[in-house]
Amino acid sequence: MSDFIITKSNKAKREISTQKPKVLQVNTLKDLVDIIGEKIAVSKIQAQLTIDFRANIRSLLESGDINKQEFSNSDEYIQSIDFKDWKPETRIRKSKEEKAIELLSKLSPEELKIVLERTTKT
Amino acid sequence: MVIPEEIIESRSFLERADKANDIGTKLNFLQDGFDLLDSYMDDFPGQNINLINNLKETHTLSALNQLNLLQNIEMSVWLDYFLFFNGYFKFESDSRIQQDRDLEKRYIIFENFWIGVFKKVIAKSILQIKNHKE
Repeated sequence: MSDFIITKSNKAKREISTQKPKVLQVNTLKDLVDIIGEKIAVSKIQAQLTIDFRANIRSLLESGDINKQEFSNSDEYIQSIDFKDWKPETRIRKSKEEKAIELLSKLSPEELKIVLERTTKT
Repeated sequence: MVIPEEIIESRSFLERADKANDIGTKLNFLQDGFDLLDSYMDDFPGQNINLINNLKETHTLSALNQLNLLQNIEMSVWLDYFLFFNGYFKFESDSRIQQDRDLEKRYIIFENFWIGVFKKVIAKSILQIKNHKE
């Protein structure tokens, strides 16, 4: 892991690389708690989980044609969802090739034929 | 002339496609409109053929004219449009592209945006299959 962290300011149009604090370099919860204490660790993690959870709700709110204010999910529908067991998803960044393979695997035989015809022609 | 209900409905989808700002939503409306026209043609072969061809041609052109919006798009949306232009609507798309050099250039820019990745993974898979056979 890099010992440096890059910070950008769009407002000032500046970018700087600085030393990365130890708290951002730990790999276990125990190490984190040792540095900042359990209370702060829990509060910081929950703050991030709140952001993740709201992002999930926001995508439900925005689904549909946002410009025409035609939304797929009503307030009633969103409020009726049971979020009690919600957990954050681990986002694994996929490579372009992995994304392409995933998309190709979902195509129908006819669609796959179209892609193959176009991509294998010389 | 009485316009059949299916064509009126498909026209409404196609008009919504024209107006939609979100490129994913736009394509969904286009496909719904074209699918309705296709199913009408299956049920009533040869009927209202000029009207149907005009609608298909107009809205394929409209989709092609929006190629500028399709630059730097996400891979899955790109693939949906790629399949639209090269799939069931290939004839309409190709004939339009061949008639207009500017459109052709814009189409090439669109196609080149992600096709390289697909070429790479497909070539790799073909090679793996060949090696496996040997």
